[in-house]
Amino acid sequence: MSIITFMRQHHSHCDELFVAAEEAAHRKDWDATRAAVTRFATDIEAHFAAEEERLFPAFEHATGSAMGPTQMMRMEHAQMRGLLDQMSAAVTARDLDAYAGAAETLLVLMQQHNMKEENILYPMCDRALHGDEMVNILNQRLGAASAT
Amino acid sequence: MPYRFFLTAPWFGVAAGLLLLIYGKSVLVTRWAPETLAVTHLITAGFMLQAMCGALLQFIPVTVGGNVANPIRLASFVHPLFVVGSLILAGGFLSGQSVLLIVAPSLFVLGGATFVIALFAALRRITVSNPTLTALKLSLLALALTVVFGSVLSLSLGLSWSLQLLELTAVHVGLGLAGWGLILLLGVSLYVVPMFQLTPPYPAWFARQMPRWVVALILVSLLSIVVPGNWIITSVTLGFFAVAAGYAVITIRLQMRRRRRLTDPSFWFFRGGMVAVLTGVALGGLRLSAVFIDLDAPLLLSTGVLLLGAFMSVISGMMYKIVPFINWLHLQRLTQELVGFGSMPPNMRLMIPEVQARRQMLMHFLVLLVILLAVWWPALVQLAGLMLMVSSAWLGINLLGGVRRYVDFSKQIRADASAKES
Repeated sequence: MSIITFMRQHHSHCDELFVAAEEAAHRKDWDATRAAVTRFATDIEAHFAAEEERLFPAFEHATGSAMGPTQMMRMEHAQMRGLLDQMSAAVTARDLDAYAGAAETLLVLMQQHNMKEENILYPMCDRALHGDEMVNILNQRLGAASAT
Repeated sequence: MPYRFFLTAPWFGVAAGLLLLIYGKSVLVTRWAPETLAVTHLITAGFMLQAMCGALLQFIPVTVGGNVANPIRLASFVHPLFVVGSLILAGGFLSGQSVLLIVAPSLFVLGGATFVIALFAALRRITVSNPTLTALKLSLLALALTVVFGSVLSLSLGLSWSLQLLELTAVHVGLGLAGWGLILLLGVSLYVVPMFQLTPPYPAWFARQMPRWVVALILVSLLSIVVPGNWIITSVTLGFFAVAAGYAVITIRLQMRRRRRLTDPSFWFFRGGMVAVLTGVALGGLRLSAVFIDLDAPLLLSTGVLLLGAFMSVISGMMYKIVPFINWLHLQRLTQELVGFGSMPPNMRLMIPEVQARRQMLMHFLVLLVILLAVWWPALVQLAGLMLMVSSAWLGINLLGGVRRYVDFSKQIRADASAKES
């Protein structure tokens, strides 16, 4: 399997979790929202970690550049982590406006981030790295996160 | 930030509305009437061109990773040329002054060439190919040619050249609305429809083929310059209508399969835009295919529905997303710089209150309804003009509010940072 196919599937999985949390929040079912946000945050954090610890270093090693697209992607991960914190804080405060605002911002940021990865970075990774081998490594990292 | 395009564009909608209010149903008599030409160009060369160029400057870096060199300088050179060019062009049509019809195209050629070359330079450096990138390149090429054909037409009016106006106009309109407008709309939709509502992607064959069909139709329309009879133009127009309808149907179907059920003004602007495409195409298509000759009034109303309903709706929906998001991105960078990691700027929803966007949207859709009713009661065009003025001014005020909030928030962040330091 190519890196792009595997990672796109995981993006889509994270999208589902985002929607579940958003729907729970708009029902003002805060317990369900808390659970859904935690699941979403866990899986997206695993995705970031798999990229930052496995995929990006391998790509940077293969291409000899740490200043290219991976740097931008790391910066956007940090921005999304900040927004996830805002969402969690809004759930604790049971503040729908604050939740909806942070979630909307995260959604746009996350989607444009995913599109850049799927359209630009992952195809470059597929060209620079061994797809099957890297998919195994990423799968292990994602699996390890969801087991904890 | 090159917001200047967004801040002036809506006021060209106000100007177009004012002309509809002043001239009333005389704009529906023939598309060659000076007031009709002025209204259509205030909307296309005024509102649409500015909004679309402004959106492209924001869209290209975020979506395809292209870096436009010095976008602020580019915008500050191109934007005044387009603003003044549109006003002079509308003035030229209304007054018939030759000098205005000669000056206006020069401004558009200078601004258009600069913009297209700068964006092509940014797109050329992107090595990965995808349908959006192809669509962006084709639409920019079509924009350049729209300006060329438009300039020839304007000069021929100003200098009384005897050219085949009917055929050249058909090519100019096809290039502008289908080549530049529709292909760009597709390129943007391929990204934003799945992105905002989490829909499945557009079918790959459609994303690849649609721009090719439009290009093929434009090439066929060139034949009309040498082959007599207006059957070529009519057939090509019907072809454009079919492509546009296909795009609208596919978009609506994707929206119906969206995973995110929550809706917002941008979603409804997009949905309304697609319904307007189908309505405009049905209105124009029925008249064209039933009679197969040029009947201006219904065709003009169909054009009105397509311009205001399809393009203006989608553009408004996009601007309501772009301004808050770009605000947030810039404020986030500022916060990080001054306050450090961990601090976050105010979220997107605090930039333009959704209730304001929603109310403006309802007003905009009411304008479309009145335009449709004008098919039966042409005098309603005046009311539509007045309402268009209100709706466009409201859009302008909402966008200005978004920019004001950016300024306020950045002041606040700076104040917080210096308070923290001291």
